[in-house]
Amino acid sequence: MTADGPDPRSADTEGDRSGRSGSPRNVPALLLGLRQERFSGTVRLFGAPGGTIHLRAGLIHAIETPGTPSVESALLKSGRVDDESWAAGLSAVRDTDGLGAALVARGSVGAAELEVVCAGTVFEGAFALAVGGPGEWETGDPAPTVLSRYGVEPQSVAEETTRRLALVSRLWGSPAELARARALPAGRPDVPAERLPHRYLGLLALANGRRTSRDLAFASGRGLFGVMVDLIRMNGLGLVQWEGRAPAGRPSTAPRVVGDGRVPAPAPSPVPTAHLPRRVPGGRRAGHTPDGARPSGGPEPTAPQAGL
Amino acid sequence: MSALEASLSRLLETPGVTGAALVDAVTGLTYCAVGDPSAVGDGVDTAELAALVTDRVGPAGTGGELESLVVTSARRYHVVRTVRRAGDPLLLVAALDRDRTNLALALRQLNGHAEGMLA
Repeated sequence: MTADGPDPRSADTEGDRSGRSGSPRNVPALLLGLRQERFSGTVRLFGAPGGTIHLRAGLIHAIETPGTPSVESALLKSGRVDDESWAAGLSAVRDTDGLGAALVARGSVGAAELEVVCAGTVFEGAFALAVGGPGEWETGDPAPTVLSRYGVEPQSVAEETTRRLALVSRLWGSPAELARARALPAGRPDVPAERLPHRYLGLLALANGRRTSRDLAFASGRGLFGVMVDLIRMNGLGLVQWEGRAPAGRPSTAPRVVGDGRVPAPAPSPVPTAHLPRRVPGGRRAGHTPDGARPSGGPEPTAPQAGL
Repeated sequence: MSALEASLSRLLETPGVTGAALVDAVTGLTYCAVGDPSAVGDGVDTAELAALVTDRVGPAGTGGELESLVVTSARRYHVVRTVRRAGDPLLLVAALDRDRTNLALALRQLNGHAEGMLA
């Protein structure tokens, strides 16, 4: 597990709540303490991407962060709710706390659908915050936003976030790097487009080597983790590759040398390496064999093994 | 009771259904579960299974979107039905007792439920 992941076990909730010395050691610990206090208000996180966690009676009712689309973005971008209905819903309420209920009452979105979107966005928001790593925080008064009607236990959110971080770390590597990685369609996909799910086709249409995973999440109105999981799967299917990375998810099977020196050395080359031409900085200087010129009857030059 | 729970609970009225859940097909997050949770199984595992079928069997020729999976064991049917929507698809998962289930009828009822459950 990465050091920046949430650790729900470190529930040290003594001290103040401003993110200074003596306060809870991390955000999950802070949230568990606030749950016990049945705190209603906001936890504002400073960092990259940072964000705001909205609590009511200690339960998480919304998370807003620039790291993943909000409920508003998810509903509008995916076409579940159109701009006109959203504006009409907004005009019908005093603040955005009641907007969800207003949209349901107007028939703009189903109550069950809204519950799914709100709950999904809480977990996606927590993941996006955790990807950004630790930072300072402060608690504050309740702030208006689109709240989920039913709050989520902080413990559930911490456990699910830990699972998601571990999954991405296992399948790809650093979640923070994947959030910044730029995918692009692989040259010749093995699978015909008509046999692919719609959401893969949607990502293929948007992935252009310039958009990061986070950009793709916002462009499609989908959660960051969902997009990451799909991109990893699509990379495994040879559909996308990463800008600046080796193509198509085929892990290297070359032996890796580690520091303790106990890994067996590669089998010795049948030809003494001293006889092989070497590419050298500076090229065709006197005393070095020019590139491409090899001793008559000698073997092909082997690729340098540096970096393995 | 939430709208989701109310909608899902109606499935328990179908003869033979012992448990049901609504799971995110991409993230594996279980949004709601009713009845016997151990019969329905883990949402993450169910989403993994569905993804495996979509990614490996789909390209082999069945093509496109997964509609449903039926896993049959000695005592139970485990039915996974895709719920299509504007965002990422969901999975309606139901565990059915074989002795009390007419599979064709139950599938028909599950399909009808999947169509309207988020409206």
